Amino acid sequence: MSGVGAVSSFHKRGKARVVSIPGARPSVHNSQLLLSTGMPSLDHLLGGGLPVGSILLVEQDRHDVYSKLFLKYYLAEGVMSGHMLTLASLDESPQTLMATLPASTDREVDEDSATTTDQQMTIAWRYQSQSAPPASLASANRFSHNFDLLGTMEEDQVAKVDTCLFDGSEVESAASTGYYWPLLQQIERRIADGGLSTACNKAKTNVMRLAVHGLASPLWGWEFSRLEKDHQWHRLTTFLYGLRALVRSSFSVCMVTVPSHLFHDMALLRRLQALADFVVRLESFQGSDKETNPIFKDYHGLFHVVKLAAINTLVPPLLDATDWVFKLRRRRMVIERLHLPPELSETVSRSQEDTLTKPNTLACMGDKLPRNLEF
Amino acid sequence: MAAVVTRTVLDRLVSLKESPAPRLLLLTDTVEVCGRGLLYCLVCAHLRAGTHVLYLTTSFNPVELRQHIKDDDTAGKIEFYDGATDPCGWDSGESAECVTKSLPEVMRSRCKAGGKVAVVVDRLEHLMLHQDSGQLVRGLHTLARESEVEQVVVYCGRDVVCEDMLEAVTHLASGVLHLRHTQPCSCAVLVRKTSGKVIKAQEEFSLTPDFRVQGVKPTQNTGQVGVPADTSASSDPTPESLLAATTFSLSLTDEQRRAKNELLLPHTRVQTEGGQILYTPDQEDDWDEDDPDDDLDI
Repeated sequence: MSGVGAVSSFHKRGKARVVSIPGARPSVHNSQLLLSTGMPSLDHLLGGGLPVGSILLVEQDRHDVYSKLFLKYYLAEGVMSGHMLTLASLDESPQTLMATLPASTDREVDEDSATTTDQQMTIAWRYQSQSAPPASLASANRFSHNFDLLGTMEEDQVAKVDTCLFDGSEVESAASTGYYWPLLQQIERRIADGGLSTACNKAKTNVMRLAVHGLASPLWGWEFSRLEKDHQWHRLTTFLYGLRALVRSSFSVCMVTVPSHLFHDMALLRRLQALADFVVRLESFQGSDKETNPIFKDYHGLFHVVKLAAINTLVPPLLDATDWVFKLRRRRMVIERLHLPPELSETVSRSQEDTLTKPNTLACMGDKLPRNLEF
Repeated sequence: MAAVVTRTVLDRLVSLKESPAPRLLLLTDTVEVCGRGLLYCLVCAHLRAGTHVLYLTTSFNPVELRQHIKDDDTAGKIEFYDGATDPCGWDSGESAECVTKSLPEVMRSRCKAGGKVAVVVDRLEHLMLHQDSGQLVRGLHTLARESEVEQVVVYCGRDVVCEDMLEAVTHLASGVLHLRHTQPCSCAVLVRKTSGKVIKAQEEFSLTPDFRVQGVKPTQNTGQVGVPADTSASSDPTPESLLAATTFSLSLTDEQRRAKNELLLPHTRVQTEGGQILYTPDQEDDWDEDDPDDDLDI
């Protein structure tokens, strides 16, 4: 790097192959276009991000506390990148969801320069004369943004984004037609208006983020209580199939949260899982006996990765661990590998002087070894 | 984020001190224990607080109910919707509207006197006989979201109503009270706040003749939310507790702190004076001031 603040002068010859969609980047495994879900740890589990044209199904925890946070991260990421948003929610008013998005912690670029000039460095004084490093990319072009759960995103920032909210109030005679078909039609209209369909030859400059909150809850329909033998699930499964078709044939991603603890017949859950591309399940420890288990004392719930998609590939990105947990810190939520706490009980280390007490036998030895042969 | 409950949740719930009050409150009982007393407690608490109560009754006559619930000296007044006398219309020829039409429509037709309103649905299972379950659940949800409605209390028997209806209403409700058949009477409380916090508790209580709840305390037996197992690191270690735990003395007295601040670090001298090269020649060095390049002849 020569000069102060100069970026490298090398440029690739020819037109860049990267599609210029804000907030998207090609995957390192295959060259699919990925979008961030708003949580870097979830992005890592999905293999870098959510591929454009896929559906992420999130099975809610019992009280829908943490899955709502997942949804808010997803929507907030869409707002920061300027994507088109479509949110459908019957349980909770979509206006409330959009009004309580977490605030972004990325400071604007021009605020940095004023603060660094007047500080006298005492220990690293040799670097005083060096200038500040070049400013990072503008926030709209970054892949994944940082959010702070204690703050709320400002309304004017949310208002800058093209949003469509579906809360079922415009659907007349909901008892006979249900909400599924009108929602599909609304999504199709949005795709057509934004020119996002893959059939349309226009160069795409934006993607759409779809979010459906609480699908298959009692307000959407009564499918959760029917058994398979009653053949009453087709509205819900056809809806998800239609949603998948719309998302596949357009530049959009979708996140659907489902209260799977209500389902009487697990076969319905299997069908929904088969229709979605990525499936994760949240199991929170609130009120269960796992809350008092010392293994889980630092965490708030288990995070199960049920299904990972292999879109245009043979194998999905492999995870190196199978037990994941999520933890809600004050400012953000993270998903981590489950580490067992160290075994600190007294029986593990024996005192060498005390030969009278029977030592804890190792797993490889039986009880029958004489005492003077102990290691 | 469930809390280990030390204050009584039931007390706050019934005396309406819980804020924000749960919009949809489900109260269930069984054949063995009757929850009607607790229901009347809630109604009287609303009346005393000045909220008008709209009471949809399907089992008892309004006349009989007025003998128990008195609104003469309270700020709020109670209004009954009679779904108990003749719901199917065998005598009058028309079925009662309050049980066949959806709940928001029934409540909307009431002439608005202004002010907050609490809605009580007595016996959900009787309403289910006249309406479709999906429509009923949607009606409850819409009603709970209206701005003038402060609380919707739904009373049902959990051994009578079908499972999926109970699960559906529990999923939508922000407060659930399940009465248990124990001696003394106790209930399992679940409150779901809008901030995301979930509070669960099991508490026993008793009722006074004028429908107040008294003597609430958590139950002592196995149902209570347990204290997490005691491990060596019980809470996040703060710097002070870490300092107290080590055998080194890491803290500074004032005098030591002053001496530390005044200490001249070697790099500050260099900073002020600039760098210098100090060279002392050895014995073997031939220190010659001349420049050896002088005798170059170019």
